[in-house]
Amino acid sequence: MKRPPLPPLADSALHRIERGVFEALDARPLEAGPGRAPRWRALALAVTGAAAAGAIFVARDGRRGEPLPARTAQISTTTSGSHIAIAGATLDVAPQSAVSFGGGRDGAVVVALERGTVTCEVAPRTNRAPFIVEAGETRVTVIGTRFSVHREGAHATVSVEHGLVEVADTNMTELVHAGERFRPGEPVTRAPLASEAPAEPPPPSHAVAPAPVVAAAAVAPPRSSSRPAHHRRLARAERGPRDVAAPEPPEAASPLADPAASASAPAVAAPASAADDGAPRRSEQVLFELAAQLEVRDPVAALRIYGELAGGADGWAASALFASARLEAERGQTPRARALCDSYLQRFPRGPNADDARALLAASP
Amino acid sequence: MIQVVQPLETTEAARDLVRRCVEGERAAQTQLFRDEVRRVHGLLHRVLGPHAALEDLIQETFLNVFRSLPRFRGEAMLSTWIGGIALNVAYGHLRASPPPLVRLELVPDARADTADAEQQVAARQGLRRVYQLLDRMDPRLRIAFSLHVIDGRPLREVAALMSASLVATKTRVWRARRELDKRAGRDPLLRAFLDEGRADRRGDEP
Repeated sequence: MKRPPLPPLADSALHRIERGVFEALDARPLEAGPGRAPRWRALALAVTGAAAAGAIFVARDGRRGEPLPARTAQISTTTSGSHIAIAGATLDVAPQSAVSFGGGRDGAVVVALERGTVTCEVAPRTNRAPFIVEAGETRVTVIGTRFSVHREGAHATVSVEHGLVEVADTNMTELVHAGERFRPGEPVTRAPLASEAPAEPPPPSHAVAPAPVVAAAAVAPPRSSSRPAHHRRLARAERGPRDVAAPEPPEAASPLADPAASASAPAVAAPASAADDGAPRRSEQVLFELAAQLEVRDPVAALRIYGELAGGADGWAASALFASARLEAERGQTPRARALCDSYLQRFPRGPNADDARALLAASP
Repeated sequence: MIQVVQPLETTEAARDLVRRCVEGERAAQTQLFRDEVRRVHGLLHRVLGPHAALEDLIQETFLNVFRSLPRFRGEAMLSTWIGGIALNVAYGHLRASPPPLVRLELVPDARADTADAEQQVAARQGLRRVYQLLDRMDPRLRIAFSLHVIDGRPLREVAALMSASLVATKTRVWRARRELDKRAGRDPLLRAFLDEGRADRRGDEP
């Protein structure tokens, strides 16, 4: 593209802006720590509120000595299940189960499974707030899929019917693909689909008092402390440096840095018609974007996804094949990168990255 | 291995300027404003295009800068930090506003020194359509694309300005370009305009 000329800032405009800035500053002078007092007051209020909320929930759920996600409502089923729509997802709560809903960081929708089983069908989250299911120590971050979570004590079993989810447990994080099942402490295995598996009797209720069908709580304890430390580190590494974060932007603190930061927490228990407020993205695109996000923290997983996409025949196959070549080159795997570039040029000699593949070959003798 | 972009640290002189600004010294504030205003103007102009509200957004940027200086830790260059604030102002504006109509008279002549009159008109129309397409694009993609492709900034610098990883920035630029190319396919004038600068494509792969 042509680089259009940048018109100079006229002196008259500069003077107008300068006058406007300093008149506004004069109207509200800077203080020794401008903005700090309100911020500290807000922080203190938030901490106080969170502590109170945490105390409530720790008292309610004493088997875990950590704050639970923010909650605004809880659903507890007895002899029959329940079907609800929430924030671009539908949830089938099995009999003898209990789930609560609330907001997490970055506007995430957090579903906490207290007991029993919940089956979720979640629209792709690319342009939506993250969707997270927590069951004890197991945390499932949803990309866009149908899956079941069955709580077993402090952990959970996750069965993915289609799509892809990321499951974080005490000391590990796993990507679970369609048709796979995650159990804590075991390798991810192929398993019968959740919808095909015989109904498992839910374990007896423990440590959770029966709750009304929908009980408003409206509290917001902090989310971060309940996330495994290794997971937080990975997330920080992926986001990159934060020093250039802008102050008090109109949206979240760093909307440009975090793809989900600008999303706001949706209303809980939205009507079914509101669940699908946007057309789902193609699964190849969702997977491609997931792989791109994973390149930093888990390049092997990213390559695995790229490899799966490259096996297809559409435009995403070409993009994924080249992306895997680039990623291999960046990892120093030159022979593998060259082989992938050759493969790309054979399959897509006029593809959008054909010139890039040739350049990569030339740069990787 | 993919690298996370690390911004350069700020200089001692910049730290001193910041300290004086925080203490309320008007001369220091004026100096900082005049040192950075053209850079902020260029950044916002590239991201938003010729825009009637540009002056207001520059003013908003500097108000945010001055009110946030006490929190500047000096771990990045001051200009990068200010650029990040400007981009957040632009982002907020893009999210809050409906796509504006780009008035032709606001679009500067493209390469007026070499093009004949007919080419100039075509270039102005092409540029206008680029801005119209960018108005419909996700603000993050638009910002990354504008800074890298239109303004020619290295991906690393764009990543630092957006507080994003290099990979995320590459992906944003690539997705924006792909979206633009897709739309341009149905618009011969825009296609011709975009194709003129294909030589700049290096480094934009996903």
